[in-house]
Amino acid sequence: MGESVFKHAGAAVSLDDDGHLIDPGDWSPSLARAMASQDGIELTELHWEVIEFVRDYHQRYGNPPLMRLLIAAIRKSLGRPEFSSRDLYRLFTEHPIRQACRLGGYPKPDWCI
Amino acid sequence: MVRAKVPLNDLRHDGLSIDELPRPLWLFFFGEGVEGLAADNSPWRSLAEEERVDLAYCTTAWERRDYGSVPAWVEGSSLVQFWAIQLDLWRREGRFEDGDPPLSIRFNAPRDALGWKESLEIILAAATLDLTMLIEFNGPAWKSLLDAPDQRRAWQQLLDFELATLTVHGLPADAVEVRRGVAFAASRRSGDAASNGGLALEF
Repeated sequence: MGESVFKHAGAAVSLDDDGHLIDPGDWSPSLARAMASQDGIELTELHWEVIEFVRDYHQRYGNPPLMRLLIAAIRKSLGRPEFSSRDLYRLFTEHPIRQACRLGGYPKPDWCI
Repeated sequence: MVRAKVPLNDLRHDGLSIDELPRPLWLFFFGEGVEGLAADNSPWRSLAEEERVDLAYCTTAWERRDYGSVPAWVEGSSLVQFWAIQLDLWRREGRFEDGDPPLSIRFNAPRDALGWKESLEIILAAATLDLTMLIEFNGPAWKSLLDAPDQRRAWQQLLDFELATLTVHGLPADAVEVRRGVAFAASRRSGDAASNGGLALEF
């Protein structure tokens, strides 16, 4: 897999080797929906909770959140104490944090955590 | 954990040389430590061929340094796996009588941006497994972190999400930018995880 182009709304958006946006400035909710659709995912409110948390976290700290922090945040924001990593993997069937970064317009995490 | 480029014969742990360390032995190479594995005639290869010795390396640290293909005698691994193995060892040694043994990490010297980034990764990987952590800085090390803005903001997550306790030694609080949640202490040292059955890392 090499660099590629994703066509959306009449524009060509450049993606890196791993399918992440090369320029995070290209991101928009509409682009995220289109990329998710290509992955076979229809983004729900819960998907957006995850994506928005990951985007906010990345913007603040420069890296994605640990999965346990993401799960704690979702439990709190949605008032769903039973929300678990299993639920997260149901939403994002690849690696959830990595996939949320991709759909949120951020690079693939460059660590092995 | 081998965190620096160090000759095989100079590696010591708890005062023991590599030949004296008990087997089975699992060595995990991280950060600059992976550099020693990259040479064609790496002396680590002979150790890897010894029975009951396994060498593993952090795949991210390797890729970051762009060393190319990985020697067949060393296995790819991750920081989380390192801590999982360490925790398993602690459990078997019965060090959990009073809860998790704490992990103490001390920064004595300034680091460059990559050094701070990889140090933070060690800590976040431990946080993934809910390890209790005490992190201590001396003044120059703390100032070096504050002087690297991207790293400083990344380290802030430890405080905002209460992933670790941070203490700076040897500096008055008004000598540096005070970060919310950071304790300042005039004395050199406070806790000592190793004496409580935990693990101490020094940088």
